[in-house]
Amino acid sequence: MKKLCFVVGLDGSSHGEQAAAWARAAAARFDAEVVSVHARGLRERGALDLDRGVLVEDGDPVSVLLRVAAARSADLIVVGRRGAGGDPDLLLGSTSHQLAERAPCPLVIIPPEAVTPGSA
Amino acid sequence: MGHARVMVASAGEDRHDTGPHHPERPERLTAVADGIRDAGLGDSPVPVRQATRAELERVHSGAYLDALERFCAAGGGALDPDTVVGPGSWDTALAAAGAGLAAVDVLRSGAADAAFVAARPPGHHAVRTRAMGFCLINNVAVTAAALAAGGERVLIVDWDVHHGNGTQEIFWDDPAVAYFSTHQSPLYPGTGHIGEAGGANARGGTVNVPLPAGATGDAVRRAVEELAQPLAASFRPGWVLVSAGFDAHRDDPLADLQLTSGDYADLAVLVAGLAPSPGRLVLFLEGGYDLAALRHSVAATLSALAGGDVRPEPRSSGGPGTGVVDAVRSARDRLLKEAP
Repeated sequence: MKKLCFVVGLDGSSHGEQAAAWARAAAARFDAEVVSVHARGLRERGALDLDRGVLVEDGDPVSVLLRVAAARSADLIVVGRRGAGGDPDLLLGSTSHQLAERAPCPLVIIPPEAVTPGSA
Repeated sequence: MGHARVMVASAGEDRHDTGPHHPERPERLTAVADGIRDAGLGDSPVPVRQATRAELERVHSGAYLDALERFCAAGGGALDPDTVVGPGSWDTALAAAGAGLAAVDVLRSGAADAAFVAARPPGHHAVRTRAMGFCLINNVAVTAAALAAGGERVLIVDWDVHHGNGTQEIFWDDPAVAYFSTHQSPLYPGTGHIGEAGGANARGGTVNVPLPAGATGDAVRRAVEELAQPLAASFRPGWVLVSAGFDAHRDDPLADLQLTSGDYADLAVLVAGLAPSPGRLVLFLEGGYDLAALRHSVAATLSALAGGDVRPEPRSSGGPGTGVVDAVRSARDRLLKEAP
């Protein structure tokens, strides 16, 4: 049977790191593969300061995560939440909100105060 | 088109504030205005007007437009890591989208032979339901959709260094609007591969020429001559709209193509030749982030359209990428053979 595939979005922030930590811990429990993705934006040039093994794809975070999730037949997308909360006027700038409307698979949104599974 | 009358349409007061250190900044329009003067063009007589809700909804969802207006009114912020808006961005974006529509009205009156929309924010990355890549409203798409709604066939030529993913997506399956793009690849936004050729109702109506870093003007000229010209000959557009980004210039800080301002003069003449007659050509400012390169490229483009000889730099050649033109032509030949 194919391993489960968790796609996690890194954005260089602590929210992304938190999402990655959650995804790694959850993947260990489910024996899943984790694909960490960085969306290279319009302003990012040259070599990026990223951990080895991070997949770099050109585009905005929403498009890139949808593209990688489709290409890898992902079972789960994991992203951090920046904290705009539920303010309806600010949801337009929320990657997690837009993914929630369009993701082809289950989506896990890690709030800033989340606890990594198994660590508590 | 020697001695053509070229008009400039603007969005009026620029209140789109992207904050400090953002490359898509208000000073770009000052550089563009300098380029317009260098080309010997006078002040713009094209009236400023905002696009209407109905005109916008041809290419964007109502929910997105509502959310964008509210987001700006609430003070703005980042829509994605690249795209920043402020309180004045909504009104400015509506006027930038309206400038293309106003330009069409002026051209239809016979008062000019070509128009240049000197407005920001740019538009070609904006998709139906989302802002991205510095773009809020897809300006060229709003004008193309208005023309198509009136029964016109429209060819969009996009020579910005980035692929116009938004424009491609909006007209993907629309047989009334064809889309031709030269761009650097790989590069943001990661789309625009050779195999992306249009939906079931518009197979072959999208043509992508993804050029490698280092490509020079000869590759883009060949792409227009060998791919865009046959596309125009078979598609027979009533109008040609150009997503005229100037970030393929060798001095641009966001990309790695090696064009010069002189190349833009050549491209302007070639693309003007795709229009069926004078008065059916509108160029829209997209990218271009080195202010001197932007000024010189705008000057060369508009001067060439008007039959002048302002050419701050000679044309470039000798870079990689001409093989891509051959590869696109082969893929296209196969596609057209398979078509019913």
